[in-house]
Amino acid sequence: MEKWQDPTESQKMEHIRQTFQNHEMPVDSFSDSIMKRIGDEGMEKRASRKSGNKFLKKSLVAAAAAAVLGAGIIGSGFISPVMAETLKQIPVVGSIFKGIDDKGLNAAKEKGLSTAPNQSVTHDGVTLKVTDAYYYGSRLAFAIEREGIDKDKMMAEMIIEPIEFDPAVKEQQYAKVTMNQSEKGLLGSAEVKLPNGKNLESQMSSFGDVEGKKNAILYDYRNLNNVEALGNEFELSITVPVTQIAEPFEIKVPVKKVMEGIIKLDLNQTKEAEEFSYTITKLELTPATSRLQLSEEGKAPTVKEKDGYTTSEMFYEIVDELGNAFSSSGSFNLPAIVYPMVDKDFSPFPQTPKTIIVKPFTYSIDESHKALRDKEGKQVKHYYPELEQTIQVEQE
Amino acid sequence: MERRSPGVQVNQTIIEEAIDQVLAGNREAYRTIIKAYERKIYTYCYYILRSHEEAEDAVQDIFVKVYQELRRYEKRVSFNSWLYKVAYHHCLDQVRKRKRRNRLLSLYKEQQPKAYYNPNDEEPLQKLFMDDLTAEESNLLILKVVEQYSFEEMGQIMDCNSATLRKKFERLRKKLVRQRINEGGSPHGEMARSN
Repeated sequence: MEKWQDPTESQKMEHIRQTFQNHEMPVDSFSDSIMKRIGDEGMEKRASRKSGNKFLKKSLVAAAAAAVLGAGIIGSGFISPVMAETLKQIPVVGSIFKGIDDKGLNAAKEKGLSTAPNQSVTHDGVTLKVTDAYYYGSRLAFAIEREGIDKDKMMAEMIIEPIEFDPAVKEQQYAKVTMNQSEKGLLGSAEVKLPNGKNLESQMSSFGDVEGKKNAILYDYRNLNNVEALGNEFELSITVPVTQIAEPFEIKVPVKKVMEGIIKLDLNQTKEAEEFSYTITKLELTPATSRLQLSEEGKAPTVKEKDGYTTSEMFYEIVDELGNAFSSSGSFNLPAIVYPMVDKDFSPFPQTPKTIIVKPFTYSIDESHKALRDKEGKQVKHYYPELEQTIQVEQE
Repeated sequence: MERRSPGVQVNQTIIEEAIDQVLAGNREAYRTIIKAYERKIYTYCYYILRSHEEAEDAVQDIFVKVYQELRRYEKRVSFNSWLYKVAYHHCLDQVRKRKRRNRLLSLYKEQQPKAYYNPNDEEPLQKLFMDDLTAEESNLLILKVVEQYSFEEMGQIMDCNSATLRKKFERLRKKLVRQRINEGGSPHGEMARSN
């Protein structure tokens, strides 16, 4: 950037910056009215409404890219917040599951619950090997190692292409997801086929590089929909696209359902305090993950910790009778909003608990959603004892 | 080069995470994106469109559009510049529409450059944006001076050649220097002229 020729000129430019930066809006925020309009029009709705219209803009962006990917999180990096959070710490030896500090997958590995299929396929000098697989009915995870190319990065950049909209086509049109092909040997989204020829359906799927572990990638599918009927042991057919290699890598992976230590409870217990209430509907405990489902109603509580800070949405901590405590995942702090359905993932308990106390809490967040931290750098949590609930976990 | 970001300091990780969440179906996460950027986009629109009312409409239209097109956003470019790209083209459309609408009134408008605001409300620098610069010049000034984009980045936002932008900006710079000299000891000189 060129230099301004005299100090007065640079002062003037600084003044322009400040004028711009200090400009106030006529209202605090337009977010409510924008969110309302989005609610009315939505991504999905807009696409389907448009499909009935003959006078259409071309290159409509498809609503359904998520459906293509199994409603997954698209994009770079990792995966579920539980993993993301814990991932950073670990140097690695041995199997990938051991390497990832996903406590659940580690526990599964240690207890011998994950299988090591070691099936591999080679094309064009690149070998992909499925080193670990874990399946317990509602979650499937598998890890792939790469040989023949040595680099940290394993995951290809995904590009979502806009749809050229054709009004003559009646069926729902999906956006095409392609990989950035500029680098060789990077992996894209896997297609997982079940023995009945159908694709695996999951509500959340994600895949990503494993930090601290070269040439490794993890695919993780949660809240599976269509596997119940398949029994406890079956073979998956996994097809993975790799950049700059035309032939897809098709790998057969036998999986075995983990039966041990899985507890599922359907619940209907509500706690209410002032204007807020929440109802716990489901608790699932497995060696790989704990999962809590609940619904919130009313108005989220707010608490003033410090000037300039507001209250975040509600988070939940689960604590067993031995004091093992896990907070619901995510560092993503939204303002106090009530969700009709909350589905939270937690790290698993070391042993099956007898009772679990659910402790709602909030963070204090500033304008840019950063949480208030204490002297030790920990995020300050505000608990609501009046909203705590105890779940009796039946021991078998 | 260090880049300044006007308004709220935006945490990119939070924004990227919010985008992922929106794409994964959590619509509410979009609020985070709105709150992080609305003030700068509002201000940008205001200086291009020179009307509070139009800027209010524009900022809302832009965020709705960005939401609807979010799947087209590629992480290779910064979200900030992508947002500016949508905002720039939206404002350009508005200016064009307004021109069409007001074609018959254009002569009148040229004689009434301050039809949209009351000069007594504004401080001299806002007056500079409003009176002395065209919408295109305001745009250049914001992207270059406030956001400190390179000409290449500006070329991507505006879909045009960076060399042309460089020339235009150089002319604008000279104009600003001249304008400073003209201002002399009388900061109200310009206002007096146009009144």
